[in-house]
Amino acid sequence: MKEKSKNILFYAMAAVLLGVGIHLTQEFRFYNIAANELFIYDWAEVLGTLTETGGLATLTASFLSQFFCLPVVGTIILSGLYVFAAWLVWKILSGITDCTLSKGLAFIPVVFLFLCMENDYYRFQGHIAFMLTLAALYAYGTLSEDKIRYAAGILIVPLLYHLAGSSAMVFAVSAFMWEVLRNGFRGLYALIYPAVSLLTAFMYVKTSMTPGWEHVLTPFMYYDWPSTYFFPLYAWASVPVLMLAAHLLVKGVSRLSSYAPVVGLALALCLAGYLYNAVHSRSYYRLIQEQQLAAEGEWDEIIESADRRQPNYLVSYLNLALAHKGQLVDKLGYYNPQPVSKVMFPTPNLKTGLSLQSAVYLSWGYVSAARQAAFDANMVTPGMHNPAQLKILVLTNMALGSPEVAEKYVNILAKTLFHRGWAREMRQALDEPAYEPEELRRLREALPYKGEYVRYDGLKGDMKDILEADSSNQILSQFYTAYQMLETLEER
Amino acid sequence: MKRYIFIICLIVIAACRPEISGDIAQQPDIFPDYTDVTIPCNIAPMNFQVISQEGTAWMAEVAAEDETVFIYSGNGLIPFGKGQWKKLLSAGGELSIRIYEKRDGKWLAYQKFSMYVNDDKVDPYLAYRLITPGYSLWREMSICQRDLESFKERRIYSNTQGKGNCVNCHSFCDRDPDQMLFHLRSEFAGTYIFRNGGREKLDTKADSLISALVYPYWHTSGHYVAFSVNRTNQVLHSTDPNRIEVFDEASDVVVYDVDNHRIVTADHLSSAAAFETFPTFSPDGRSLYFCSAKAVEPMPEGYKEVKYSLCRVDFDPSDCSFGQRVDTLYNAAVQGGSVSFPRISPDGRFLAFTLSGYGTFSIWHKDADVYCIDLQSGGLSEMAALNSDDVESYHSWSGNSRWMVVSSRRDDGLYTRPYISYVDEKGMAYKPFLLPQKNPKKYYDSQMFSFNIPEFVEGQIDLSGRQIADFAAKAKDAPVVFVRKN
Repeated sequence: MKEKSKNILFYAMAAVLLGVGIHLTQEFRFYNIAANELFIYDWAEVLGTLTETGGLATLTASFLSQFFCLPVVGTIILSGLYVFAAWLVWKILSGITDCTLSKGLAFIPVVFLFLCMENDYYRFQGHIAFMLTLAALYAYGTLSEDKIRYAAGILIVPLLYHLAGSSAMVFAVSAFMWEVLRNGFRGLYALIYPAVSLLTAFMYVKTSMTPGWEHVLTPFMYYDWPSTYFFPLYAWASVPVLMLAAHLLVKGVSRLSSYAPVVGLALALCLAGYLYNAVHSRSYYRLIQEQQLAAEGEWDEIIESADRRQPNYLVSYLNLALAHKGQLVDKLGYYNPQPVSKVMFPTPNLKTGLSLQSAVYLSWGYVSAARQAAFDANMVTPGMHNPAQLKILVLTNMALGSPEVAEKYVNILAKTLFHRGWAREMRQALDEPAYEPEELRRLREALPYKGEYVRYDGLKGDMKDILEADSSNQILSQFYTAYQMLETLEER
Repeated sequence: MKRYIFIICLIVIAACRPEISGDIAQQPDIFPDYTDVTIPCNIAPMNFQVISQEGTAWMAEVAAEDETVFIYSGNGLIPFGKGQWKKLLSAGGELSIRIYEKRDGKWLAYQKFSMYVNDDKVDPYLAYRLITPGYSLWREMSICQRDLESFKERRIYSNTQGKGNCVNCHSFCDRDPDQMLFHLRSEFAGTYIFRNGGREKLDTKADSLISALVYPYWHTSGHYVAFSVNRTNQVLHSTDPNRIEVFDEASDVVVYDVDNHRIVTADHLSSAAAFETFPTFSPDGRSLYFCSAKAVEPMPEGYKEVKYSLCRVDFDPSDCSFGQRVDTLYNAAVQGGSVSFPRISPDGRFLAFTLSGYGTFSIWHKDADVYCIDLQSGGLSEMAALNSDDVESYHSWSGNSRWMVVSSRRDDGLYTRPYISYVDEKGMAYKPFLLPQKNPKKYYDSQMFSFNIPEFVEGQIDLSGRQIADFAAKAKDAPVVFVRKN
């Protein structure tokens, strides 16, 4: 078999393996990513993003992630990106070694990228920034003329800082390593790259273009909230480390068998599996899985996949699913009920917790509380473009008589690919008071007649007020009974 | 040569003027509403957007006394060139603007509207905090400084540069960029004072205070800052048009002696029987104004009973002492409503304040409007032209007392925007204009932050966010002594 065909076969196999792995382990994470970003089809918005540090990475990430709401698309895009990244790493390593094992070991950075996804505060922008850096490194390696290559390297560092952000550090360090390993002492000239990158970082910090040193020197930039960032850091570090390893391989093993890439890939996948099991949070993943299923109205699937041993708090997607099926009161005791003193699963992620609240409160017709939760959930979403929460904000503001602010959110959604139809319908409801979509009518009917404050008399008091306003509210009626049952449980 | 250029320009202008096929019997709908506004002679270009469903192209003819410019637009945005705008402003007087709209291949002319250029300059900078108009949570926020003569905005400090903590209540001594303060909450919490190159962080966790320092106002000398201390709480309305009710369960007024690190108060500024808040010094530094309401219990049940009057006591800057007599300038019990944010014009002539139905937190009260007391005559009047059906709350005066910036929610009922109004020698406010932006419709439509506490500033603030963040991380609390005077 020709080398080219072997390569195609190898990467196709890797893509399939990665795709299957990603689908099995991350299927529901894609919806969550898509729920946190909107790609706004507006030139001013696009240009504005491009002027920000890491703007190209942000823009590309939000463009790609808008498609994550479609089934399997996230898996396809991500596995494609990972294979592309591994191919780029291999091509970079090819400049140092011809050892075929490196083709498989080139998947090591991908393993760490994959594990980054376990942290919900990590932004997909970090992946794209890393890809851009690898692409720049590959392009750099293709320049054969020394002077041109050095000049290009000096230009690439600040440019990459602007386009991709702090991952430009990876370029600076890796390009330096690449030069030293290829050219020995002569390669020390490439120390200029880390120096330029530090200088660029210094300028970004001093001019307040980025908030601080951590943002320009580490992957911290790719998190929307302070968080540990070991895995992206490992992905970064793995590029120069692999170069060094490749250099040693050249000396040790000049040529391995043709199965070596597969062995390397298998090693990378084993590492991924091991680390995934160590860091994966089942309960949190379960929450985002339910979040997607609830958004899609897949109540049966939520109920069927529920784990009876998991603590079930009053405000949960499971209870919402049971209420939709008219089974909440009957089956409450079956699913490990928790006392009402704590109404919700203590999620470590504020955004996901607030999204749960807004979804449940909206189903109750608890309009002002749903608006508050949606506002806060949207606020803690980077860029404040969380489509699900923006939709709740539109509905609740319209129901509560604030059409002007609802229009602001409608205008945002109208500039997206997947939400513009919904926005058009709401625009019609804004323009023609006689037109009232069903979901809006239901909310308006649920507005309580009395009750000055939300939660002043406690959640139970508010539930009672809403039920008095709309006794046909079956969802809330079940939750209200469930609340009373849980109260009894607490008293015991 | 200049003559030829002039002739060429005339030809180009003549060529620009469209052939008019008819009139539209109304003024154009534009955003921001800049029709018939009074503007300072040093303001940034007042770009605006024509809102029209029918037009396919637009042309603005802007005529000053001896200057006429034409601006063509394919999308309704009318952007003024920098030089072009400067010439129009320097021509002064009335800028007469006519918009032509192309419909079905024919140009139609709207009725003219005007902008009136006033020779009184506005301070060159406006400082504000960009913050989401949220409930109790916060995420990103920043204090910014906007150059009012251009579109440049500079971020002074963003909480992303620190530990994501809340930064609030920025305040300047007499609009001096070299004397400012703000508070940080959560991590590195404290009051940070930057004064003529010096920096300090105050330890305000004194046991004698009911809370950390809150609403500030500098004495013009820079030696004192009056603060309120407030035990604040909030509840969420279920169906009321006002989303949130923020109320105090206790509050006092204190004065911080900057040189001697003392916090001074008096019984009549910190009575348990009353809520005292929103202190303001007079420009001559001899009076301290504040709002006071009879304490109500329990809260929040009695929230509608809390009505703040406007009071004044003498202040002696030589020894930081207070007069014994409390004058009431606006008696809420008699005159109705509740007073907040008293602010005196730098010339000492007018006192503007926000009046709402009840309570202390007028920024969430849709009925909140700005009123004015003529301190010479004692006359009270509503600054009607400045107000809208929605919230008008925080306001501040320009250095020459001729301009006022006010936070208003009039655009969408939620996101506050800074509106600037001319105030004449009689204290009458003119129709305000929204802070200009390069592309105002796009900017304000996509802006998810409110402009909070807009304050005019005389010059550029010589501090960077990094310097502030570094200082906050390292600063040690300056000990403060609490003194109560009778």
